[in-house]
Amino acid sequence: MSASLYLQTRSRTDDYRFVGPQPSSSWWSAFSETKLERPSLVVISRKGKDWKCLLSGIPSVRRDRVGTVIRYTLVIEGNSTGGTGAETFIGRWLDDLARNFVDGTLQSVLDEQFDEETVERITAVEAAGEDAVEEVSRLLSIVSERLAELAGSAVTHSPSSTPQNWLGSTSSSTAIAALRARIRELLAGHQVGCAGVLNLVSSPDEVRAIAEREGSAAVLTLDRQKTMGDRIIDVSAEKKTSRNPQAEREPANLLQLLIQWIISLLKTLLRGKR
Amino acid sequence: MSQTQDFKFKIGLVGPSRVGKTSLFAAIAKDAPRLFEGTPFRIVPADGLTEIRMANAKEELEGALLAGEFNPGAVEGTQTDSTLKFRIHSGGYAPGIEFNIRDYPGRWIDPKVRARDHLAKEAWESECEPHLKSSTILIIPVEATVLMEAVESKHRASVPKVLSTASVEAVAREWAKTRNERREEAAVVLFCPVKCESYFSDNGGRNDKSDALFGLVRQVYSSVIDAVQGEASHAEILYCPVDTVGCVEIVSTTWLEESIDGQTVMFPSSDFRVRKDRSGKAAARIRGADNVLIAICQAFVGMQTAKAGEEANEFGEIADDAEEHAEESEGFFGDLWMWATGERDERREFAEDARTAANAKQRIAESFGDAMKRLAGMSFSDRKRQIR
Repeated sequence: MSASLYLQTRSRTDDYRFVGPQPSSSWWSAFSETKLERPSLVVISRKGKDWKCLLSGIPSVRRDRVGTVIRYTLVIEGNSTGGTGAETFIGRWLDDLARNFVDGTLQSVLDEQFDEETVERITAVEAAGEDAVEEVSRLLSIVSERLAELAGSAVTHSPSSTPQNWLGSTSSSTAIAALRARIRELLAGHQVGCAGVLNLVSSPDEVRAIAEREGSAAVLTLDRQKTMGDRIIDVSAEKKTSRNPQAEREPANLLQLLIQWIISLLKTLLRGKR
Repeated sequence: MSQTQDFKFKIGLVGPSRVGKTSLFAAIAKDAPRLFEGTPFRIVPADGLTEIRMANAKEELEGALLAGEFNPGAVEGTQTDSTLKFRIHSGGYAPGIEFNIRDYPGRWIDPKVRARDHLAKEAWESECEPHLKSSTILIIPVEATVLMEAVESKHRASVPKVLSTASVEAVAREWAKTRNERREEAAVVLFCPVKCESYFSDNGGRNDKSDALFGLVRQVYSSVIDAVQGEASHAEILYCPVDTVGCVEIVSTTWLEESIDGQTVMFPSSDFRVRKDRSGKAAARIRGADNVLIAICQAFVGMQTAKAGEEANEFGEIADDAEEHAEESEGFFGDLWMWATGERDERREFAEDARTAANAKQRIAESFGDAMKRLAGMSFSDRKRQIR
């Protein structure tokens, strides 16, 4: 995998942090629409070539000192030539999400390499000011290889066409297939914008705001009540139908514009004389 | 949801990882309706994200009490920083108080961590530190079990490390320095021991060890208290212990050796039993959160009532100027021109709008002042104590 892979987790006593290499920035902090402690998937491609991806909420078998399940967060960053590895991770994460991360493949592969003894040792080494980048990078390479070896789930065909900005549910196989298709476009550099599973999103307005910020948005929400069904809500279409009161107040014809211009010109001249 | 007329404040939160920072605010939000019973006030999340986060925290707490057992591990640790926004208001269009709390992973308070973790350093310097410095109230959650269950000398030796008192002191000192530069604003420190259920007899508990807990907080945090007092002598320091769950009690505590920063430190690990009500049900029974909320309201009251009055006066002065300007003579030709172009009417319209806005501000200031007086009049319960 030519992309860069980063891992965030914690030890029994030390808080969540990236072990080994660190991403250059916490770009995901712009996404207040999701709570990273819960399963979240964010893929962004802002320039159309470079992309960044975050997968969170992956449980481990490890527990912290209070007895809380310790989670993994993966950050993957790359460009349009190296999206295949990221697709594997994203595909596994979506498969695991569908099973509420029970017996998840990602968990099992990560736990194999990052057992309690290893994580405690790595965090202790780093706390002492030493470098664990090489070891963590090696373990993450093994994780990538192991995932690539395992067979993935059957890919559901995505809908023939989806809107530019849309909201769907994680309980819909059609929406998940559409999300996978959008992510492939983002990773290949064919699209600018954002796609993902954002667990705090509850309305099309929030997706519209993300689309305005990121360029485009394809978002799945957790929809626990399963009220959305298989629908893919076209967020762009809703915007088009909204009326713009400002536009309605604007002058209706050229004559009005001309009169207004003459009055403002005369006012300016008078102020100049004063 | 958030209102533009609301008066906005920041509250700083400082404590180590897993101390219960998020749980404290979930408890306050959950218990607030009881405090405001019989008054027009209510506390609501000021944005959708806080609403969902609080709902998640409530689910976690209920999950922790599932099947009549208490599993503290069901409450998630904080992985990234976020802002919790709450609004206290009395309904209708009257302005309220919006207070924002920056929640973050506890390890970020440690300068050694920030020195080796550039992401933590950036987030701390760009978001958390400015928020803390501009906060009028600093809340310091304290894990009561760490203080009270440390019976052997080797346990007690670990307490400052477990509670990160040195880092808390550094943050509190910086906060107090800024408060000293802004002496016209409130400066309140709230020590909030959490997980206090086993040490009070006012919430279903059998033992009253509240004096011992108070003594230990004063002793272990003496350097923090001295730092605040030294930097900002006007700061008020209060003690408000909170039962964030209420219906649980420690059965036994084992101290385990753990590694932190490459050193071996002892951490307590407690087993809890659940106190059930007469119907055999185990329901959360928060206690003490009302004191935190009253302290927050009182700190804001005087400051904001004055601010509301100042704003109303400023608007009144603008309206006076606009009215004078509207009727001002510009000479014969000037007046004729203003009449012909409609500028005189425009000036009068502006003056009218300014007066309407000033009157509205005046009404807001009056209603806010009344509301604040009622909030400030609420009495603390017995658990609250004054440290300084």
